Amino acid sequence: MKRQVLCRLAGFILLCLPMLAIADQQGADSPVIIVSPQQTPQSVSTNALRAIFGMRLRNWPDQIPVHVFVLRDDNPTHSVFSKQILNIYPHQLRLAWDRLVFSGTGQAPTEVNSEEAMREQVAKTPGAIGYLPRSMVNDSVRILPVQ
Amino acid sequence: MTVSVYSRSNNPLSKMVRTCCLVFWMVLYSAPLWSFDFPESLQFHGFASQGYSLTSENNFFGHSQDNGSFDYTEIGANASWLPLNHLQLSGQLLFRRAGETDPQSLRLDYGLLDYTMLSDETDRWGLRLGRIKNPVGFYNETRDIPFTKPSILLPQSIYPDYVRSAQLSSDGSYIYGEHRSGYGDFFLNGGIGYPPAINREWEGILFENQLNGEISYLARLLYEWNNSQLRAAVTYYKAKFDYKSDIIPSGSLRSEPWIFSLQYNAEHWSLTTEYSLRKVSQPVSTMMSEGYYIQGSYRFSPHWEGLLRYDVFYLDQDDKNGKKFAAKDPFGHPPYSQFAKDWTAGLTWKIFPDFMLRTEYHRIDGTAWLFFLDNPNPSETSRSWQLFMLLGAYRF
Repeated sequence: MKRQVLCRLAGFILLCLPMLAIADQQGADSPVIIVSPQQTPQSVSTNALRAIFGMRLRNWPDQIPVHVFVLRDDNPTHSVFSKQILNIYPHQLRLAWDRLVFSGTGQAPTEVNSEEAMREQVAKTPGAIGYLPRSMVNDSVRILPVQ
Repeated sequence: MTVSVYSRSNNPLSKMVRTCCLVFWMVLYSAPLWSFDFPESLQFHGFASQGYSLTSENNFFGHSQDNGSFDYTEIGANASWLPLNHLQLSGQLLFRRAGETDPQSLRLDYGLLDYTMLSDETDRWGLRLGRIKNPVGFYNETRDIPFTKPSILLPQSIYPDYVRSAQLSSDGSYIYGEHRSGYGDFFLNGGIGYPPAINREWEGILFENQLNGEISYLARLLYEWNNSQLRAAVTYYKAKFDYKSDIIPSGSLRSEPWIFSLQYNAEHWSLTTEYSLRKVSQPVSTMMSEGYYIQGSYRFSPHWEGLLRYDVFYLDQDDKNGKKFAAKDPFGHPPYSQFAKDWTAGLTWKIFPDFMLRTEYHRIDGTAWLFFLDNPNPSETSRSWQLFMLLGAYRF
């Protein structure tokens, strides 16, 4: 009886291993910050990044206007980006934008419908910033390291 | 008691603001007629909400007893534009209907010019000119947008709807500053201006009269730690109105509150409390109004959120049960018109990111923030009453 339970447990663990591998792969594919290739900054501080995605910092250090692109609130990449990179919950971020938009003291970021649209828009818009899973980054955009 | 045409402030600044904003809106909305494309930075947003209220006793937002009332509608549309990198122009038009208390007109909610003088990674300083929503406590700036508040009715101790226009906005100027550091973010607002057009809800308090906003001041310091996990704020303002009345001595009315706000946000729940001590002075009397609430909300899922709140308000801190007031009041107001204790339970269903349904149930002891215009006869009000509300809201 005991042996049967152990066998089942072992079987279960074996079955789970590929899932762990997938989870690990997802870790490797966590979101990165992307900018248009012409952007001059070589890196960005966490403070600046929070201010940029909070729609409170409107210029790059070279005074070019920042253009922020985001995925929809319910997009899984957006959720991971929000929590892991900005350290803020997606609903709090939305609330912060709504407070700016509906008091006339700021603007909302531009929402795109897919990761492909995100890459395309960031590539062609001057001053653009966005995020993508690392696997989706190609030569049309540049990864901006966060310090 | 007749209902007079609600007075509008006639100070030159308000007139100038109104004219500027009208021009701004005409230019903005005639933009499609121009031969060139919309500027890239031009954004349009808006919201619409319709409420239903049902009360056991007393009327709230219309004749809400018996079959209930649908007299609570808010529709807003705004536009913003950055003609220069450091300059933002924004304006919002609002239509509001709230029982007898609101003139049901289209009005300019805000219309302002925002100039950022300094902006870098850690600091931002700037100036706002025009009609600006007053940053009072956590919710006043966006108090009409269901998506930025926790309940249909904001806690009336801090955001009283019966004197809504007194703290809503200012025609004037604000300076603002932001500082971001490893210890948290600091936000400072300091403003001077005239309270704009006074809405009809005031008539219930000072009867038929002429009420004009005089120069007023406001300051708020807001602190946010760890991406708004912890938020704390202190607000002080001094609003002044001059009025003429046939019934009581003419003069000025001042409202000077201190408001302390504290909020903790976890992933699934938030805890919020605000406390207000408000000095209200008229030629005949001065009193301290006191109010506070404690509110917990829980997000069961991204779509469902529950709320529980206890809200307390005393018009006169030295007469909490209203007995002293009632003993000498010539108009027959009952003692319970001097306080209100409100237990609220609410539920929000965010069906889509842009559409929500919200419902709440209030169990209230006292009528301190009940609208006079919906309940003109004080002797017909009831001390203990229940309010059920339902609201659908959309935004774009």
